[in-house]
Amino acid sequence: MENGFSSPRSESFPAGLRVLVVDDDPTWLKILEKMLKKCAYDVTTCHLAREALNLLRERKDGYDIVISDVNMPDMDGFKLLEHVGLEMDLPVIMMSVDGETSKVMKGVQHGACDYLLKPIRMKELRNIWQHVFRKKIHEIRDIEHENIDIIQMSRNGSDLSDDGHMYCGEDYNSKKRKDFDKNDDKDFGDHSTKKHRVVWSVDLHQKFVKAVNQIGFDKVGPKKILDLMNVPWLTRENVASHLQKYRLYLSRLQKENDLKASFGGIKHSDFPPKDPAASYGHQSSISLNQNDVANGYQFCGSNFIAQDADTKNPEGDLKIVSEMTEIKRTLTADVSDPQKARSSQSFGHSFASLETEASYPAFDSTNPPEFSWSENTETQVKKELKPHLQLEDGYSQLPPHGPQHQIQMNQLQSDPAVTSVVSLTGRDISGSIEIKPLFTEFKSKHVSHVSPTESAIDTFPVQTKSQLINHQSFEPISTVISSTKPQGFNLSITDLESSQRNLTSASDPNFAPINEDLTVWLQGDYYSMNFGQSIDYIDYDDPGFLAEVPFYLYDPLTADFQCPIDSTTECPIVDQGLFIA
Amino acid sequence: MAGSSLQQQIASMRQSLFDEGLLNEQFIELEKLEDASDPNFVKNVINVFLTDSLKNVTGIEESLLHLKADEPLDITELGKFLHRLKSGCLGIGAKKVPIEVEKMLQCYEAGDMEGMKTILPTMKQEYNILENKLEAYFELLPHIEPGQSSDPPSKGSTSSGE
Repeated sequence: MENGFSSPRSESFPAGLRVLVVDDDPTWLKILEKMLKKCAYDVTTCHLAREALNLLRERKDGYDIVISDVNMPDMDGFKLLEHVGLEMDLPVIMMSVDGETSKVMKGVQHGACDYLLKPIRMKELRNIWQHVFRKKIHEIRDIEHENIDIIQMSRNGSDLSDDGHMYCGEDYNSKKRKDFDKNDDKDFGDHSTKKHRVVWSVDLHQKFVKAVNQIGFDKVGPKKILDLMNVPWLTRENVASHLQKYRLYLSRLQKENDLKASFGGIKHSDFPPKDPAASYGHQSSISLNQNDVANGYQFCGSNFIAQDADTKNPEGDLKIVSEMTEIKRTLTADVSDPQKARSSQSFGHSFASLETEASYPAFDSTNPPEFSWSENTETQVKKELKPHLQLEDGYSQLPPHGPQHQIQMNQLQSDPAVTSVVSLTGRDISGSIEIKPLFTEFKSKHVSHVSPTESAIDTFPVQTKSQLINHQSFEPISTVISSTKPQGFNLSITDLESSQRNLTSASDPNFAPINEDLTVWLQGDYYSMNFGQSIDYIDYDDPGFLAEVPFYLYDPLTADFQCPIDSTTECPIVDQGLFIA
Repeated sequence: MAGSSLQQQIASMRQSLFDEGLLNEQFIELEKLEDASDPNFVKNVINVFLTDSLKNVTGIEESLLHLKADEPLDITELGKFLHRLKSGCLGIGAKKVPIEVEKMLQCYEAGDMEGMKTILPTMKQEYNILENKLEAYFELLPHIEPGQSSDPPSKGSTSSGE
């Protein structure tokens, strides 16, 4: 596994673990340095928090773990903890002479992965590598989980059991939970603001993202965000931890994008490459905006915010902009599975995960070829998937109609953040699609409702096409597609459900349930989705759609899926972050 | 090298540090960290400790007694000194001093300046005792050559170079 880690430089992990120790007490600094060296770790010491931050910023990838004292002269240890978590996403261990429960709790709240009490023994330090390891595993697992979820979603498509969806979501969710502090997982409706259990609803998250964008992702800070958001009950702490997650999400996307980029399978030319953070930050409306999408879909990374705009666009014209094609491509590559759609939340992510998981359970009869393919061409697929996933996510979640849906497309292709703006020009789509930072997928938990709006079928089909293509379940799609969507899909994704419904209904009875699943799932699990996987509602991708998929879309294995979709279908590329509120 | 008498001296002095309750097992932990490549580790740490803790003790005293009349009393500084002192003591395994410091910290949390002032002399005294003993002990140590280290009280033989 160590190879999977970015950090361990040494073959004999954990030896060579790069530890940064921050403590203003010179005695302890010396002691800790010695202890850590004895553990065969690579130790760097500093006695000021600022100094530590500088070191960390200078070498973003230079350390694996940070150990810091709580009481520092120039900066509160918790603050440092926050910074490190937000900016670098490194595990941080806190130390203190004070073992008071409240302090320990505070540490954990701020994201510390451990809290050591001085005097510290060497044996306690010997095991710190597990925090690094664990983090990596969780990240990977999250991605994989999403993939699995996607697969399951798609598989369950026919059954469309909420259970299936919920299961996936929950499962994932729970995993995700492990990773993050409880802040993430919000209890729905729990607005005890002061506590860390803040419910990051879609709206709230949107505000957050908006604020982040306004400030500028680089300069963002919890206080600024909080001020901009203007949510009285929200505390700085809430924002801080949320921001932390957001960054994690972004960086995750970025990693995946990097991976995908290496594959080069996808042509992202159409998608304005955005850097992950940026893309998240702004509505990267990739050219997809072509459609005057009436509905504003907000696809946030993995969160699809399916606003049930009134884009009742059962037969929305999904105009898939070029990005879409890209996405499609990816979709075909990999996400043939509606499951992917499930992970709408993190399209990009899901792709990544999908790819890895290439072994999707028979998606539906049609899978096998594609899946295997994807597996083989993982890289390629990955890339493609990404956009694809996003697309899917966006679509699946967004009901074809739903003008107000804001689809935030993540640029799947270009970079981790893949924000593909899916311009849903569904007939019904009246809203404007905004590309929301993918981050929404974070909050996907709150995918509140994928209200099935009837319109979406059209839009979906488009998506599905792409998705389907990936899914390899072409057969069914054909049926659906033909029936459901006209060429220009307006993906009015009002909510996933509707779209799903439409889709399914249009295409295939089997898929009907998907909507529900999606909804359910979406709600449940957004968070767990991890950013990459999002396409959970791959259900949408049901084959049904595929049928109609213009050939250009359908190019399962070949990355060059030049989708002339622009002309025909402008599908707003729903960003993975379809935040279904 | 040093005759067994010196070693015995060192050993017994070391033992007394424990016996008198000045040091605890943390000190032994430090000793374990020492190895042939860094034979003076413990001594170095103790030196660092002594230097730093002296600053802290002085700072505490000055703050409490407001000796630097030209400067306003900085209560947070006082708190920092106390914390640092406690932290350092725990690091080397000092036992008595941190107890006093802890008492002072409690007064500090309660805003009880007078209480702190009361404890201050005791704390200082304990600190001085510790300081002297450590210095005396480590003065003997240089006699231990690299490759050797002080033995636990039970062994009076030449160091095993741990």
